[in-house]
Amino acid sequence: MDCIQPGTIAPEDLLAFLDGEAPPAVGEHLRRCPGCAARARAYARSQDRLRAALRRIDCPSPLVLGEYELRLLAPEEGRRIAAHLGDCPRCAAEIGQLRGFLAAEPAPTAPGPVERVRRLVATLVAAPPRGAYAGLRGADDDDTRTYRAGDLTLSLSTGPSARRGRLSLDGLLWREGGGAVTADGGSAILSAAGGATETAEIDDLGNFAFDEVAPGTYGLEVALGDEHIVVEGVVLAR
Amino acid sequence: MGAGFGQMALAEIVGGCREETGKFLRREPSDDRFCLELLRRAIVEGDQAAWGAAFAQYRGLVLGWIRLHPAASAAGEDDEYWTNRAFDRFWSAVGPERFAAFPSLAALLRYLKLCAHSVLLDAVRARPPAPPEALLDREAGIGAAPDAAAEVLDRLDAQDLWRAVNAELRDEAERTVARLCLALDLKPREVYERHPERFASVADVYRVKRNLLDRLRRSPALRAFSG
Ligand SMILES: [Zn+2]
Ligand SMILES: [Zn+2]
Repeated sequence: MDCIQPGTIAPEDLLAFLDGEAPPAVGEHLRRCPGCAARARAYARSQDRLRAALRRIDCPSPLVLGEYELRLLAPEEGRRIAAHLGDCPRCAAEIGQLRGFLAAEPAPTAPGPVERVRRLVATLVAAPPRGAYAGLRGADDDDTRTYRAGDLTLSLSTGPSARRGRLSLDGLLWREGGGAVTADGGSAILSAAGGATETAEIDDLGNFAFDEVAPGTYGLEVALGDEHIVVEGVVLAR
Repeated sequence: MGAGFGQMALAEIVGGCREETGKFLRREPSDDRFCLELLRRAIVEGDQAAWGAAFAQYRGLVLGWIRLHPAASAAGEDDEYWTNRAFDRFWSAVGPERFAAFPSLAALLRYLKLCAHSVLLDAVRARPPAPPEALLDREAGIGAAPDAAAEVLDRLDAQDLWRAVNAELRDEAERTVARLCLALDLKPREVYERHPERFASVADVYRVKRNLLDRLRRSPALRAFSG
């Protein structure tokens, strides 16, 4: 489609118009000239598609930006990131956000959730059958372990699971003096070495159960309000 | 690290780390060597029990960081999920060969905090952007035709597209325009402000950009996409 007034509008003017940076005469012309409007629309479509697909394709990952900020990069890569930051407002904004985040609670000085929560490491009362960390070895009559933390006693016992190759882990908590274990419920969190966690609710009587646990070494954390009991190295074996 | 720490039973290390962390949080003098040894065994020796103990030790700290992060609400998933991702990243990014690059416990924990930040930011970046405001529609009453770009996008790997774009670039000015206008979404005025040494004027940036777009639209490799 031809222009109704050839020579008045350069292709660059169409791009400037799309950015809202063209003189008013360009918009005026586009309203009257279907040919130029079609060309402007085609440019808009091209650059929208390219921008959407290529959005931040050249940006370093947030982890690399952070390693730059923490001075962990080799000098050459550091220079490359610095040059990128000079060009890229989005990465510069992310660095700003990271600085704020790191400063919000300098690790590990500022009071964090760890400080509000009283964490007690449970100590094993009954000695394990073998090895310092054999929390629960699968001996026939020796599959219960008792731990103490403060005025709390925790007994853990393993048993068969309904699922083949798995074990059940049952816990029972009680307080010295017979007080309620927990006023408003609690939970037990079993953490595998790979980072996977499983949570079980603790009932009014202090019972909790994990029904299908794979053999392995776990950390167990019993959370009762702001009181956390930590049991390390719980070994579950058949 | 004194030889003594290397020989200590894990239980002693774990207990020491917890106790010293408590002192640290109470602003009392504390000894980092227990916690450092715990992390060394987890990372350098791949000791699973040490790993589990380190996770239990710092899980609450990381959870607190995630809750503090301004991007957490936008990232989707729950805090527990991001905490696990942060630890995954920490273990894989530090690794046995890199452990020595961290001179102190504080440096390691700062890196763990960076890991929490970076897993959240990755999620935020992966969200699709708001559709660009069509100035053309507003000012000139020109409706953009319905667009199959999203569909095309699914089929075209962004890295392949970027390579195809780069193959069409002829000089440093075009490379700058491709990076800043297409990948970073800057306007030619902003490009000129950043690189006055490379362009004569804002109009010059528009000229380079127009040439580039025309060429990309003619390129057989890109026509389906940029046309
Ligand atoms: Zn025209
Ligand atoms: Zn960037």
